[in-house]
Amino acid sequence: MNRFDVVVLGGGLVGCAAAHYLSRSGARVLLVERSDLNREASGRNAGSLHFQLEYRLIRYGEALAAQFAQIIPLSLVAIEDWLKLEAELEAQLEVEMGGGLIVAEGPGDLEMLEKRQVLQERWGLDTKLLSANEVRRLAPYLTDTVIAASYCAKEGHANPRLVAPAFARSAARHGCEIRCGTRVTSLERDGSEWCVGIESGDRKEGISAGAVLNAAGAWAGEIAAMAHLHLPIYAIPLIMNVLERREPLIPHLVQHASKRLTLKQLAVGNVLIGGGWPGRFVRQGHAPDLWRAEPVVEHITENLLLASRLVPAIGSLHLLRTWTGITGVTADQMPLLGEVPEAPGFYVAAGGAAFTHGPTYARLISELILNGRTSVPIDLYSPARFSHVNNFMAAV
Amino acid sequence: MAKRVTLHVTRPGEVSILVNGEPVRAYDGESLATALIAAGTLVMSRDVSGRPKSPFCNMGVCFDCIVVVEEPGSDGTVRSTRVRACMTSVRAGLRVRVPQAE
Amino acid sequence: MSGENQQYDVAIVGVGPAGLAAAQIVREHGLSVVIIDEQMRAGGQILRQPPRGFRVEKWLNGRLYARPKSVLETMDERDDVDWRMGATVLGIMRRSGFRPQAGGHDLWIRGASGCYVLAARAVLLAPGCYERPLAFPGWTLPGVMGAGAIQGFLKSQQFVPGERFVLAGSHPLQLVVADQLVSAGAEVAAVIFTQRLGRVALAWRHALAVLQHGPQLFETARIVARLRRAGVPLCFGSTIVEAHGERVLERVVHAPVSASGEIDRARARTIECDRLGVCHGFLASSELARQAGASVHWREHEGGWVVDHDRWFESSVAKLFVAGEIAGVAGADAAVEKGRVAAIGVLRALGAVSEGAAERLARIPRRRLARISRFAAMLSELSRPPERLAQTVMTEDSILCRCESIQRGTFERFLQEHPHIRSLDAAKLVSRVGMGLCQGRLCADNAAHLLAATRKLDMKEVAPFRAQAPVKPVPLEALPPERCG
Repeated sequence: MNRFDVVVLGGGLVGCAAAHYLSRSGARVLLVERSDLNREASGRNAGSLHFQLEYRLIRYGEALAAQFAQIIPLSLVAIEDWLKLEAELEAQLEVEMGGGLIVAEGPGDLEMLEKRQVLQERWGLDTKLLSANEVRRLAPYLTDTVIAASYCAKEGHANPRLVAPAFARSAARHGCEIRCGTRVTSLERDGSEWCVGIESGDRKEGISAGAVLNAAGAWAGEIAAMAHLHLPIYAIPLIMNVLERREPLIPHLVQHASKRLTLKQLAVGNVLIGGGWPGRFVRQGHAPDLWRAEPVVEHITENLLLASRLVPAIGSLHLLRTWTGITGVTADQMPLLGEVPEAPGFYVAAGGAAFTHGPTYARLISELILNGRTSVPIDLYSPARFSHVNNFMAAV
Repeated sequence: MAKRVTLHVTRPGEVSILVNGEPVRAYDGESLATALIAAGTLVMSRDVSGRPKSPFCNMGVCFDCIVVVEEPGSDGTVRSTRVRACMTSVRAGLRVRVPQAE
Repeated sequence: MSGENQQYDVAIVGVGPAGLAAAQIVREHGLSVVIIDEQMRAGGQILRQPPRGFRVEKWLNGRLYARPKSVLETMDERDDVDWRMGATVLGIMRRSGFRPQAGGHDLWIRGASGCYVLAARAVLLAPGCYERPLAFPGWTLPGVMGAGAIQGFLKSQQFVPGERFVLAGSHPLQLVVADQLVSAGAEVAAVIFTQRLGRVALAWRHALAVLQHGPQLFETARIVARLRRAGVPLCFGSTIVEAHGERVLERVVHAPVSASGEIDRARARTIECDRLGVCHGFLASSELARQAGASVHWREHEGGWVVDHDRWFESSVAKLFVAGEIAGVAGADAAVEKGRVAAIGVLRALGAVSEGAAERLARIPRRRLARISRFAAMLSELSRPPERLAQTVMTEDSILCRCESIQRGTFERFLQEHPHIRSLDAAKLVSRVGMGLCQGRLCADNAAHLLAATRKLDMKEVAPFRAQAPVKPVPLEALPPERCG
């Protein structure tokens, strides 16, 4: 039986990045991907590098917002990681950290920004509340209904098309074996060894591994189930829209204080618009097919009309495509990052803001797998907080 | 020179449109691509590297014939709409901007 | 949205020969029909009508057009059909749940003054095809067009869009276009066929055996005779290899080509011209069907990705029917019969006719379709460009993707850098090929063949670009719900 130190399941950003960090440290790594690398949320998300608290974290009341703010320490690490990434990978990733704005249009919005500001200050994220005039000077492309904005100088974006493939290339250079078009069919544990059943076309194979890293994103729960474990992560289909290219106009990442919106302009000139508007899973008989989603016309329309209202100059641009990227959200919105206590040697890195934090998840989980500890504490994000759902499961 | 066929063809009224501010003779209902090419404007847009583009498919697929139609709004502002010349019908007084012909 | 409460029994998307024939049958059985088409008038590309208000004597009088034209004459502008001309279907979403219209479809439509959604119990897609592009050096020069583009100007606009024309390719359509150009008073400097004359003649002899199509073939023979009389040089066994010009087209270069696509550049010849029409076959416009979730299969010589369907032309998506070229490119006469069978399939699926009646109604169109299909297969065989020609004319620095201005060499370097990529969609993500306004329609075929050849994959593995709504780009300002009146 072929043996690897670590088998990484999932060829998205987290899986490719972990494969890079692990194999660079000398581990023998196999990366298994069911279709092609970077095909799902990792290549299809908005590419935002957002470090301020997103709307989805702030909208459910103060108590929960205060709890979600515990993600900020990870954001501070992620800022440093992104600043170094292009040099580290010797690749163009279109990392632009030119600042990010969360804009307010009414008194309610302003109040939300102020509460954000308090939480962000408490956890050490450097952000500034800008007046209407300051916004106008910094971002003249915004409409004049914007009365204030919260500004974080380190925010920005990177190109999701480029990041995971760059990690994969580097991993391959360091000897990582990558198998695309390959499914996992079984996960079994024998003492301290894992046996991973994989299948590619008609070819079936058992792989022996010292550790398994579940980096399957929205489908991390399906993988965990093979080892008789629950991981509370749910697939959600999010709509993204891309407009045709135009001359440089928007140097910032733009979000809205109380509405679903992210907006940015890529290096080549396309404008990318999202913000968490949901699509809908296509139904297969009675059940939804969690691999296939379609957009909801009303959501595309609202998303884009909001964007063109805030930035009127984009109104004449063509919408080139929309797509529905399937990503995973955990039961408490925080990432799942660590070893699953019920199954020694079974690690998970999924959920949360897995693009912004993805390289950091990968770096830290690799440290944990190789050294048993991490340079930055990650206990808060450990799957141990969901041990109660595995209490009655007979993990393998 | 490109030319309109006249034998066995009866066209509706001749109209005048403005292309980059210059009056151009055209016929009500014909395609804007026809009116432009007939007036000697083959190049209609430019690709991302600056190369000139002109109609390739003439059926709304290639988007190489995008030009700007300008309509005066009620409030005095001008509304600019980017259209495919091959899919746009000419009507009297149509105001068109073809940046590449300027 | 304003159109939300509008519901039809049947929505027909694309009103060429297939859509027209289908509409006729559906109306004969009393079901409500809405027709949506991007063009301003019915007829499709084959019968691209002159603008309203134009009067053209003897318009498309040839026998080639007889069958679809009779359907057009019966159906055009009939007021028992809701016509949405100049409108584009941006996407199709399934309706689920328990509402009465469950199981049907929502169509997201861009109309003249905004967007709206309308619902239909069944949808019949007949959006036709577009020209299969050949990416030789200079194919992006202004003045180089699809032969069909030139024909569109002639048929509909009654307009000769240039002065001195060259036609080059493998499809007999270019003979028809050359003939129409000559009779419109244009100069045709050459018609260049990639096939050797011997191969063409052989195919013709086979064709004459299928006697029903004798008239069509004689029509073609008459065209050849007319072109010879007009002094138009016909050249066989040669392919276009380059187009040149300062800012617009000034001359083209062609060179002998073998049946396997090897080009003898040493014997290249130059022709001065201001317009080049290229014609190397057609690609099925299957984007909307794919966006709606219909499965497709690869047919190299019948339109590339064509939509899977059963014997009633229902796709893999329930109540989504296909007809015409997206069910396999076979020409207008076949499209008419496919439209008829598909319409009967729609009636059957909606319970408007019994199983037995459907079978009876479909008998004649099916029989005709079988006969026409034999002829179409022969014509397709005759119209094939040399194998691998698309790749042998495409030099390292030829533009592969017009919209994003990406050369073949650049694309291939991306493939080298990303050895794990196997699908066209993944190749698009790393290379940007297919990311522009044409949404990959003009590069997908060439890029897919490059990927398949580089990786030794079959087309099923390469797969088409993922089709997503909107299947035609739409400006943001056109998105608000359509204003009534």
